[in-house]
Amino acid sequence: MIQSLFDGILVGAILSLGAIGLTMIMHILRFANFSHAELLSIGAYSALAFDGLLQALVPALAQKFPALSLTVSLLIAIVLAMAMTGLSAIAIDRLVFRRLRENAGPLTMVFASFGVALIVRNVIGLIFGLRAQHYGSDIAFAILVSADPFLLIKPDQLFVLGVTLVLMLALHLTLSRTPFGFALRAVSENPVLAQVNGINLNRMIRMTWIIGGAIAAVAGILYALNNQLSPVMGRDLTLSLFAAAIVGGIGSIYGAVLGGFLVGLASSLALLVVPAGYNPAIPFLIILVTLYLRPNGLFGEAR
Amino acid sequence: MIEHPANGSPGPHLQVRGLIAGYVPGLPIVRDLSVHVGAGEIVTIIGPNGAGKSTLIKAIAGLVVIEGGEIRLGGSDISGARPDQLADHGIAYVPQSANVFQTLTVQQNLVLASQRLAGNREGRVEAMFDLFADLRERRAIRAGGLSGGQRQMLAIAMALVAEPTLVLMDEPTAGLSPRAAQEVLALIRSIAAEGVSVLLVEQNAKAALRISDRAYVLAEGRNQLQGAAVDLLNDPLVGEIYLGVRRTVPS
Repeated sequence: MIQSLFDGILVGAILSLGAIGLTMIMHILRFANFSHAELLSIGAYSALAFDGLLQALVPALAQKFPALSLTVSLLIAIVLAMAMTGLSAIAIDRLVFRRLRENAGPLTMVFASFGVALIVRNVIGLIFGLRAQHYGSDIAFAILVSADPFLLIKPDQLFVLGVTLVLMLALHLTLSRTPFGFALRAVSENPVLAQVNGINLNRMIRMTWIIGGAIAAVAGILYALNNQLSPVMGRDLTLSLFAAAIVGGIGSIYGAVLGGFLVGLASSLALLVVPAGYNPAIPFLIILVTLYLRPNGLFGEAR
Repeated sequence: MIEHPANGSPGPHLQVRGLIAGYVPGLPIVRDLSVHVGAGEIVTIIGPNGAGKSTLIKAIAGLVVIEGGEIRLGGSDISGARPDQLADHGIAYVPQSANVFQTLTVQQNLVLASQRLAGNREGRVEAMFDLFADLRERRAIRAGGLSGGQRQMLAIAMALVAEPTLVLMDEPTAGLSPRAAQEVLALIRSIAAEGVSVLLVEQNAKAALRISDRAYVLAEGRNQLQGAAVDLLNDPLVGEIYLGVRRTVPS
């Protein structure tokens, strides 16, 4: 039970980060972006690439942090992967979504996002291969925190939680304290009024892609640290990310965070009562229940 | 009615000539409209539903597609500029509804709206709180929790905080209590007294005409009548059609 709770919080943290970008883009650009989870893959794989590159260039960076499987090079690679993913998100927007935004309807954008997801997934498979990979070759051992109740924690997992908390705190302070944060929230709530108040909408859309992409990259890397890298990780996460965003209410960043934890916990705790094979159905159920009871989500505005 | 001379003096602050604009290209709602507003002048647009009143204001604010004609502000052509560029140019637009950011606090709304100012933003925000004491008391609460009147005051404060030279208002008294509506109208007078031009669309035409210098009557996207507000207020035809005043039938 305690173990399930811990695992749920861990998965929830990763889903929260992934859902933040999804909900922001979905609200500002008014379309369900089914390729958002691929940004997690781009982040995870570019970290793998940067990690390998850095270790090849400067072998000393392969130095590990005590007890963690995390190396110095991977830590630097995380930052580089965030930038890379943000830029990829903008590139995808430029090449695909921006044109459709100007010339086509929202449904076309949804279909296009399926296409983008397929392309990204397969390009990653082409470059990195289809087999599952890990950041380090060594296995980090879990520490038995307590035997009764049973609780196993890998130091890497604590790192994952720590990074998530720091990122969320940084995002919260940005949104609640800085004029830039007010502008992001303003664009998310009412793009027309935001423009009338002097906000350059295209600039804010670019910033949203960068921030959403960078946070997605971290989510992807943390997911890969906790599980493994695989070209289809995005596909496996898409439904959970949408569940998190929908539970929280589309457009609400705090809702996405709470939704992520709820979906993570529900999926993890469900393992105690339903066979593991049914686990992928849990996000579906959560979406259905949310749409039935509270169509706008926990923090969503009525429309 | 006094028209500005075509040459000589610098001309009106806002000059709209032969404007054609609408939401869908090829389907203009505003079809050949000409309007001007002098510095410190209050001008009201009246007309039946669908006459193009709101569309005109949105066109000036950069929110609808302009297909013909021109809009000049302070002498320079601003037609086709983006809304945020127009805001930087000194145009403030107060929409009829959804005119504040409900998820932001009162103060955050004002700080956000003041960002386009180069100078002392904090001072301007404080100046708005001096002007609207109600808002100062509620600076930390979310704008979504304000009453209709307070929300309207915040919307106007957001327009004024950036020191605009032209304020566009779409039905500023709609849905307000009579007292709150009176306060808003009085406020519009004091805005204009500072030299700011005000262009107003108002359902409550009678009340709006009382505070206006001039007015335009639109029909089907075109100019129908124009003149000094007092004259239109007393014009029996305008009264009957647009102001809901019953003409006294001679016995």
